[in-house]
Amino acid sequence: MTSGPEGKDVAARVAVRLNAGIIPDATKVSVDGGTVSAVQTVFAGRFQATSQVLRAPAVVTMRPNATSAEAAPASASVESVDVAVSDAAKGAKVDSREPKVSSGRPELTDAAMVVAGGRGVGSEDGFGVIEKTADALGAAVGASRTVTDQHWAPHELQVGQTGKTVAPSLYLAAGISGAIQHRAGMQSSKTIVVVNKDAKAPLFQIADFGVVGDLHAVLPALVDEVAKRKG
Amino acid sequence: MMAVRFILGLLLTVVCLGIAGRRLMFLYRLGRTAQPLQGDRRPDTGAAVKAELLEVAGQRKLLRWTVPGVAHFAVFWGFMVLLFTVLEAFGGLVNSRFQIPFFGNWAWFGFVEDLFAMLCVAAIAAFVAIRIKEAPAGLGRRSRFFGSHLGPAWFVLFMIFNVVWTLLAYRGASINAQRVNELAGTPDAPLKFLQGAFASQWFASLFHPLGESTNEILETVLLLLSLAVLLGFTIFVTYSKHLHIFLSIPNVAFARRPRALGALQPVYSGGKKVDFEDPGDDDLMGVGKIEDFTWKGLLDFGTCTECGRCQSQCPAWNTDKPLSPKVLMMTLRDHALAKAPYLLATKEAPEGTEPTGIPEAAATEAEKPLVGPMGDESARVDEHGVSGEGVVPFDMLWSCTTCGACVEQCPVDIEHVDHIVDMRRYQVLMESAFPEEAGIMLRNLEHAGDPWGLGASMRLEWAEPLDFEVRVFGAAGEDQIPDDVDYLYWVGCAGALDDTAKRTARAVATLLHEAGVEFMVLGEGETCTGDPARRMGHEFLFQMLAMQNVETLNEVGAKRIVVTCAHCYNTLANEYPQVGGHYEVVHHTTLLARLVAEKRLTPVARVDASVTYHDPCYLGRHNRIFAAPREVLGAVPGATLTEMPRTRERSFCCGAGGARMWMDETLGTRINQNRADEAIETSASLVTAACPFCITMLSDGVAQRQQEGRAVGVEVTDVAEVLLRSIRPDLADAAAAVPD
Ligand SMILES: Cc1cc2nc3c(=O)[nH]c(=O)nc-3n(C[C@H](O)[C@H](O)[C@H](O)COP(=O)(O)OP(=O)(O)OC[C@H]3O[C@@H](n4cnc5c(N)ncnc54)[C@H](O)[C@@H]3O)c2cc1C
Ligand code: SF4
Ligand code: SF4
Repeated sequence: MTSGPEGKDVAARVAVRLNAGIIPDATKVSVDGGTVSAVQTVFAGRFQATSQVLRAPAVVTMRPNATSAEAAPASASVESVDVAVSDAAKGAKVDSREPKVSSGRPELTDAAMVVAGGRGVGSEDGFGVIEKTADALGAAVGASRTVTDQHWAPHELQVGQTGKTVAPSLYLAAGISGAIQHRAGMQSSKTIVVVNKDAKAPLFQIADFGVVGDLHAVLPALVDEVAKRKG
Repeated sequence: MMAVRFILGLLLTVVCLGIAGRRLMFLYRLGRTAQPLQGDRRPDTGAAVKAELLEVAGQRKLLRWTVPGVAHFAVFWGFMVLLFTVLEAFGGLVNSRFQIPFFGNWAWFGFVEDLFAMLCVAAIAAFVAIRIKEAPAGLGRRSRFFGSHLGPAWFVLFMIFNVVWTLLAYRGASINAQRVNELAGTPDAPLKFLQGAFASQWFASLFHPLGESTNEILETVLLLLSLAVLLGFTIFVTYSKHLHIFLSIPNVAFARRPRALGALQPVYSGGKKVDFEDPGDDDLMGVGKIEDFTWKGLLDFGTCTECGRCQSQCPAWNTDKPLSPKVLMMTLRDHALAKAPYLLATKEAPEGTEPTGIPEAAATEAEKPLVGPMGDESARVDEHGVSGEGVVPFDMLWSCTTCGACVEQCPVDIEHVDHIVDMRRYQVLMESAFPEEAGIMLRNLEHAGDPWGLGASMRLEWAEPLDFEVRVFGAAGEDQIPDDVDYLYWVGCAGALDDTAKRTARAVATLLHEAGVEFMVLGEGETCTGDPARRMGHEFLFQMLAMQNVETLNEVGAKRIVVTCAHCYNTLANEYPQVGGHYEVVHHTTLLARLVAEKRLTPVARVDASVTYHDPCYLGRHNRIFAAPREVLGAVPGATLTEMPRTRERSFCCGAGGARMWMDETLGTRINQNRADEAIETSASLVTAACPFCITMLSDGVAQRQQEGRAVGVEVTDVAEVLLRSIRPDLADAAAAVPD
């Protein structure tokens, strides 16, 4: 199961029902003989803990983006099951569903790529360049609190200590200085790319790639390049 | 006539005192349904007596607010002296020439009695003026009386006035009826004290023309009237917020001394400390129902005078959030009273039987959860009080920064912060209900030992730019802190990991180095002290971190510790003794002030700047360190200190305490903005504080204004950095803090 809020909730219940061992937030799983072992990163990625499930069956939740989906050769068969639903469970009824208005972009917390903007975008219009870049890459959009406080972007997009925690494969931060409150929400991203005009911006310290320059020049160039390669 | 007087008076007294007594008995029984006091919490008699003298008799806390304070002082002492007058009136029931032995022979005694009675009247006039001036009708939420029961408050003033004038009028009639003035000077002159009772004499001259027999009737009528008013008032008091006139005495006696700030109490269940390593199955983890408070808690709620001093200072209330400590106390009291029949029936039902006779209303009240659910749309805190699915709305509980401004102000020593944290404990430990964002911080504390989840390996980076070597424990193979080390330097999570706070950490290290103070750090051996977990109510995590740190500190033989964070200071100094860690802890401002005073640090370079200083709650109010940071700033040539209007004991919170730092602030306006604006108003170019969290908060507020093109050139920095600039202006850190 995915280690998202819903997945964790379901996994815990399943484990209790099955009287099974559970490993949450794993990054790797392997089956050796009959035992399942999984790797978790602990202490902010400083250590890798490998744990075995002693009481089968094993329930494992996987950290989002830790693996990519693979097609497995299997044929599906339909099996009908009788489920008894208690009256108490029928007490609540779903009257209607309203899907969240989709921005057409992936959900911030489980996106594989995130493009985030900070005060450096300069204005609400300026934030548009972040959105364009995200769309070119098929990425989700994130923002620093400064941006959401300024209402340049909606509150749901705030990444950090009092916002969302994300761990995508690629996190592109433009015009974000890298206050610890922001880092707390994105530091476990696999690859961090920083665009900032100030070479001393603290976020460069944890960047895998950095561009010192004006984001309003760098990002449009990136968008063009992506478009060119996509053909 | 005397017989009528006596019988009616007696009847009145018995009935009224009976009703009042029954009410008090009921309140006492209600108190007995609550939890016992925390086991080791017994009042220290000396401190309690001192507090009664200072706070009840001396009205110290009230007098901090000059006008209402003086008025209350007058009413309090007026009433105390009035008790003699009341005694005389009761005596008058039996003998119309009753006088208090000894005093009764002195005319000046009557004068003093009337003087204090008039003081009462003057004070009532002042209270009327205050209540009109500060009426919620005009000021709305800004009024400290917003949300208080206004009708009963006016009624109380009216009744005090009635008690006074009826007593004086009775005495006036008595003067005529007993011919006090005519017989004065003769050997059997009656009621001599009334000769000097000037106000009563005024009534006497008013009634004199009516003749002696009318005055005799008037004497009886007025006596009975005054007693009826007084006894009626007594009954009313036992049913109202005015109960404080009785309850404040035990409440002050049983209050935490010196004040209910600083350390939080551990979790207690049934009067015993809960052992988190092996908790009992039935142990209460915090307060989930009104009866889970101790009886002292219920006494607090009952004692609240609804004066609103706490509300006027509360940062949450002042930024339009749904929390007022006063309204919280009132709400809990109202709930306790509404649930009381249920509680008494359940508690007093014989073993093994179902409680009976619970009124419908009480049963419904009993079903309400103490704290409402997150996102409760029906939750509201307004002039009609509190509504919502729970007794206390979710956002009311979580808006508190534990700044302690309420506890500081409360004239009857109510312990708001303890109650708020106790309710949070239950929410976190039993219900797992808290603002989501804070969960990340808790997880980080658990996994990485710091709130941001950066991990221990980063804990020495701050020291790299220094031009001298910082001694790290264990680096030279020591297993005990060597004797030549004066202080263990506890850098703290912010100091080690947050870029701005790292600058402060370096400034303090450099200054200690310059002064020749030997210090050592633990490096990777440090973890968060657990303050945010504890103030959020996650006592379990706090205990874990605290025990781990105490183990480390005891192992290395730490004795003297210097810290740069107000929260670390509070936890290490005040809370670690609860888990077996006893150290001498100093805050860096105290140590720096001492080093400057001892001339081991001599500020030379001028720092020409106007400076303002923000008192961090956990340094000031919670730990009474007000002077040291100001001394440090005062020692810097060129720096001029301008105080903000809300300062020292009345300092306004930055918004970070109580783990609010890790929660989203979406309700009302931002607390940090409010405080930053106040700092900017002083026109200071340097806004200083002495806590990394305050600095983050104030910087954020100042940055917002700079975004709008205001507060140009204003810089937020730690007091230590200002000193550093005066001592080592050559350093980059010192330059970094210069406004440009
Ligand atoms: C209680 C509390 C909670 C907080 N929680 C969060 C949180 O959850 N998430 C969060 O993000 N913040 C949070 N913050 C705010 C945090 O402290 C920082 O203030 C914030 O992250 C800074 O945002 P920023 O990097 O966008 O702005 P700044 O720090 O102002 O940085 C702007 C950066 O943009 C660069 N820049 C400017 N113009 C350009 C350009 N044209 N091209 C390229 N670069 C440019 C500048 O060099 C600078 O480095 C919180 C603060 C508090 C007090
Ligand atoms: S501690 Fe501070 S924030 Fe909390 S209720 Fe009291 S005054 Fe308000
Ligand atoms: S809690 Fe204390 S300060 Fe607040 S209203 Fe009640 S008596 Fe006044």
